[in-house]
Amino acid sequence: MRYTKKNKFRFLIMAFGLFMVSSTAFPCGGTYYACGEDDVLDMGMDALLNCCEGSTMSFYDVCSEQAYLLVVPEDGENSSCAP
Amino acid sequence: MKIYFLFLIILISCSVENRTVENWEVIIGREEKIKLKTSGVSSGVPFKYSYLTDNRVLIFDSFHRSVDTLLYYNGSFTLLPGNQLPLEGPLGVPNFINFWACGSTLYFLDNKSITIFNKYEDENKVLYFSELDFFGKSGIVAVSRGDGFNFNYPSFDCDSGNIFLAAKNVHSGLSGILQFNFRSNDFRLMEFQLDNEEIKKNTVSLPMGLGVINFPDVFLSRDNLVVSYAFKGNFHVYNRKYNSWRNYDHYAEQYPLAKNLPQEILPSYSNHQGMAILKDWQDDVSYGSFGQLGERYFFRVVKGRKHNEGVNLFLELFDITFRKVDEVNLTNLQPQLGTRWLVLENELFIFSKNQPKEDELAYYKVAIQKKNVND
Repeated sequence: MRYTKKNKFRFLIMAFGLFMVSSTAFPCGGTYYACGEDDVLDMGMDALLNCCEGSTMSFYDVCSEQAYLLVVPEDGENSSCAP
Repeated sequence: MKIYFLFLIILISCSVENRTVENWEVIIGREEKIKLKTSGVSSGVPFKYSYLTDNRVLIFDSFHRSVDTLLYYNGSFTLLPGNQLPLEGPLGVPNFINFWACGSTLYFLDNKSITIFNKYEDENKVLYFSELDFFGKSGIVAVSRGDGFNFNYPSFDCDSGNIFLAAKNVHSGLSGILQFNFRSNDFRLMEFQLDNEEIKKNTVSLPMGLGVINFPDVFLSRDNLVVSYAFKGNFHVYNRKYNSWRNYDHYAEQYPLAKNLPQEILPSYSNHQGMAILKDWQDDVSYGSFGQLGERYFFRVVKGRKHNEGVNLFLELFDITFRKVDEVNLTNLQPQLGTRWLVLENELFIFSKNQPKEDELAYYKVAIQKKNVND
């Protein structure tokens, strides 16, 4: 399905959050886009809750042009690996 | 007397090595625009891309999850929409950090695995790095590119079937260069010691696991594999033909040779205090990955140290033997130039840092030519 082409940028930033609340298969890998430090931290905290230990993903802050790598240090409490 | 003379000769021969700066002229064209039309590629969001031929580059449209083709022909660009990639199922491709194409097969790199996708097969093959004991002990092995500001991973050779990757064991902090041959399915750690101590010193992360990206960058040019770092100008070149490594010391006149070491993040620091340290490290000088223009020279874009007025971008030029021949302040020539670039038909295109319309990708063509001696 092709989406209408409105606010692609906003869509991409929201995509990560939408996955987190709408899917059982969390996107615990790849590159995600954010805008601002708070956005990067929020995405990181979501990943900590929902991803397994060792999940690794990149965040790119489009607004400051800075990139980050997150390695999840332990199994998230909502992840498929949670005890 | 003879000894003094000998010392003098040694001194002269040492001081002139790698210090020759030639006069090159960099000419920035006027701003032009690529019409993105119905593609989901947005000029406001960096896109992942992979070169297909001299005048075609594959672009991942993350809005539609399709692999589109950007064609450069007769001096103009056309973006051709491609097929959508399934997210789930036997041919599902999960989120990835980069990709390459060889024939009808696509290779998708994640931080932890490579997914091999061919629409004519029943299912994908997935290779997990964690199953490979490269660093002497088990642990999480992550793969990434280094500079974080140009979204290409130019270390793929379709003809020989090789992909070169920078990998790190995130427990031990040890890094290495992996060679994966997708024809023989052979993975190996290359016999080359990276400057692991310096990589570790430039590693900084929050207790939650979020950190800066400081993996080595890899760039493949025929027989030469260039390994460089975002945090310092020095680099290494491995010649595959002669199986030899060579280190290149770097010099620069207009920006620092390396980043300052990051401040330590204490356990008592809040995430925001930690983020300030991560940002400081990133705002310091940052060396981009290498690119090549024809058979004449290599280049890389360097982000200068951030200051009150902003950031200056520089273009470093190297001859075909990796001898630096010039450094040019790009920002002085055109303040709108950004850090992302493409090379097509041996021409350099740098995207504008300001992209006011997301359906148009603004760029500048950058011509480089040697100055006439009489100029």
